[in-house]
Amino acid sequence: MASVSELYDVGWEEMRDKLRKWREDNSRNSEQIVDVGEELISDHSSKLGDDIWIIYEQVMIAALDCSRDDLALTCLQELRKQFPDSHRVKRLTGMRLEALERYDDANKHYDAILQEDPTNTAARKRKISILKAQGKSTEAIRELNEYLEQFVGDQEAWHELSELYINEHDYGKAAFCLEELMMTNPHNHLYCEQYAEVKYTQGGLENLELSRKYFAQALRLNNRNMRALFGLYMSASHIAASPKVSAKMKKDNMKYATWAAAQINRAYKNRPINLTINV
Amino acid sequence: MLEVALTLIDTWCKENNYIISGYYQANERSKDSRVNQVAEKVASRISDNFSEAAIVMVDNSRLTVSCFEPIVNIYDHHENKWKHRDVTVDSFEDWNEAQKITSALLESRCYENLIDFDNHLDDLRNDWTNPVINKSVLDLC
Repeated sequence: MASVSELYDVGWEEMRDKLRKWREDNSRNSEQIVDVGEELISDHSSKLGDDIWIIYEQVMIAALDCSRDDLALTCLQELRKQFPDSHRVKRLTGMRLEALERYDDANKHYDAILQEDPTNTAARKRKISILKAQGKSTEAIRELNEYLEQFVGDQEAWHELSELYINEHDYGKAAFCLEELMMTNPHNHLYCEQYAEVKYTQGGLENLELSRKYFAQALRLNNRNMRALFGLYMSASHIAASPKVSAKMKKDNMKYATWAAAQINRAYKNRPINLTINV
Repeated sequence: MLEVALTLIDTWCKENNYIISGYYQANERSKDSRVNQVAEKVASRISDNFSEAAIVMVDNSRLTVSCFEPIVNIYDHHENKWKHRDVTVDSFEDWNEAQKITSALLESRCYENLIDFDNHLDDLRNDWTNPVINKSVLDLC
């Protein structure tokens, strides 16, 4: 099979830069990372300097995603040799055990890290991930709540918790998590839009109105957020169609829905695609 | 956004003489192939418009690139419940063709270019009707 450098006519520097971009974007395109990373490591490791260690880590995790335990082990062994007492590398050892579904061994491993360093957030999050992988959602939720009592500023954790609650259809608690995120990140249009979706799902007139307001807010923060635009249309339409609203509310919401529909049609017309949608 | 997706896809279907006839889902965890609440809700909506709608759940634990065996669980709507249907090679129009085509698509990592409705909402230029992959399927027939 042709190498990546042959197939795409790229040199090792471009491959190294690509890997860096994927790290910065937090992309989980594991098969591509394995393809590029494996070649870079085997053919050009001497040129990479100190970058090689973070590349080993990145490729190792991608290799676990692709069931390439051979590659994962190679990377892990290099890291262990270079950083023998590192908790960061111990976490990678644990992740490999998780990938092999040796959850008890992985847990023992993380517990050992926590013995030495009770504030190690990475080990705690891995333990919660194990609960999630085992389908133990209630326990995962409980552990994550306990974690957040200590590490109340951890946005990734709040977001994970909101997703866990959504999977359990506990929309009230999911909304609470998203409220935390919106408070600390008032300019993040995604949190606004996700909060609006949860409110929409909860249903009922009051929640629909809130959902419309937050879809509108998400749009103000980012006028290209299509989910927010569609959400505004759906929530306003439902409110306008409700028998419980005043004539004024009906009129206002029909106006919002009409405006949103026009924006949606405009968005589709301005993109060169085959579909024409009439909303 | 599920509502948005169903509405838009339904509109497209009517314009192109198609009908939404079922719903397939693959769960996040490899050992979990249960029909969950989401699948039931979506499929119930679909069966409002098409009484013979089916739920197809992918059995993640048996999925392979070669696809020698059908690895889906099929459920039909009977008396407000979703009942499991026994799946054999004869449940399919032409299993051999399907297996060959699917396997070829998996080997060539076609899934890297698969567009779903979420991708479409991220960027409207992403075409959820997947014309490129559909052409590949026809070419492989």
